[in-house]
Amino acid sequence: MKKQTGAVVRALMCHVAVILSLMYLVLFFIDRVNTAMEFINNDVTKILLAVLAAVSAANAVITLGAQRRQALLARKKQAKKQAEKRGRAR
Amino acid sequence: MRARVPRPLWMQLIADVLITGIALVVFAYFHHVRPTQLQSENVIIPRPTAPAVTPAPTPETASDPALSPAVQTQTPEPQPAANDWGSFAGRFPDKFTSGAVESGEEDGVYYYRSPNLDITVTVSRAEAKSTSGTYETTCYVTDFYIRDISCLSTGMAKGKYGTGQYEWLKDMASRAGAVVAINGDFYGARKNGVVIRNGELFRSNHSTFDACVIYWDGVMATYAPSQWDAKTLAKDGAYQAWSFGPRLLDENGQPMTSFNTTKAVKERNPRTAIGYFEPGHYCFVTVDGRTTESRGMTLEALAEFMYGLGCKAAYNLDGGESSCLMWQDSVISKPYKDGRKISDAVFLVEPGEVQP
Repeated sequence: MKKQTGAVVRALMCHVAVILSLMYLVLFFIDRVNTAMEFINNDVTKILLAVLAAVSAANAVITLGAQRRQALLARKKQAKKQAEKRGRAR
Repeated sequence: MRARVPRPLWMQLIADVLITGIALVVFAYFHHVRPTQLQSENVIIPRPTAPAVTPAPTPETASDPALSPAVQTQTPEPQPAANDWGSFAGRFPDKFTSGAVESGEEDGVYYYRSPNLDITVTVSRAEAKSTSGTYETTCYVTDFYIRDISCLSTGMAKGKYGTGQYEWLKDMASRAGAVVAINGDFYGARKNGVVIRNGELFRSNHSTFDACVIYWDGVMATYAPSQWDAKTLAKDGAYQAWSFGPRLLDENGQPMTSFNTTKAVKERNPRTAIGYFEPGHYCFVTVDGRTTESRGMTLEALAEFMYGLGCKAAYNLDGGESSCLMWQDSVISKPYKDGRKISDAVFLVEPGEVQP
């Protein structure tokens, strides 16, 4: 159950990152066309940018953690295979 | 419990794009659509009763040529007497009628003469240059003399100060009883930049835009962002101040070639601008644009045009769909897509007209 909740939160964070990134790209583009409207330089966009940064950082940490776990698992498997090989050779 | 099969990636991405669209609509609503009445800073700038010192620009600090020297085309002479600050009756004695109001239109020239106003609107095809060559575009030059500074007035949409408050120029002009009305700087689309209207400081936040100020003594000056501070402008006796621009003429009255704005604003567009000749004598310029008949003007062409009129200072107001000129009860320019609701306007009114 805990594992499932974790997976849902991780998926949600990925979608939030995609949505906020797309929003920011659109706002960045229209701000270049019409600076006077202050699409970037306003409180709401600044908060959205902060949320995007936090979600991206969390996603990055989770991805790095998952990569590390996979690498450790692969190393363990490799070590096990090598031990089996050595056992057979004896 | 069986694990759910995840939806295909493309489906998830399409859902994300749709949610992004909805989020942007919600953002736009809160950013600039929802009407929000703001609190004015409520600083009343009184009409001076004695001549004040002509304000000097603050020293230039920016290295960008677009932000360099201030346009400070003030005409200190003749200094008004203590009791006629902002009154120009003595300057142009032959311009105003003794009592009658003469008004009409002849061959594309609209005129209005009264004891307080002398207005001439000339509709012409002006030659403008762009990178693709020379072309003709429709221009409306409103040349006017005012007896008193209060004849050059401003108004806000629905008579309220705020963001997301929009109204048709026609409605604002009719409420103000304006003889001539043009759109303002669309202050309501931004949260920063000086807003001084009819001697009241509404907003003093600094912005990266050039500012244009008309002082109570009738002097108009334009400033680069590093040269203006709203509180100082108020202290110096500002009567009207806009922050959009950019300014079109430099400190020597020469047309500028580098402008403090974005590429989109510099390009050929419908335009509204205000020009200054001397205290009490100004002009509005409205340019139709974005049609095959009249393509509008680049900022460079507009600067050349204002220079050609003999202006000493000139400032670009909001353009595009906002650009509109009203003569009494009718719109005489051809606003792009029939115009749009705007947040503020500039009027020529008879003194004593009820202001919103």
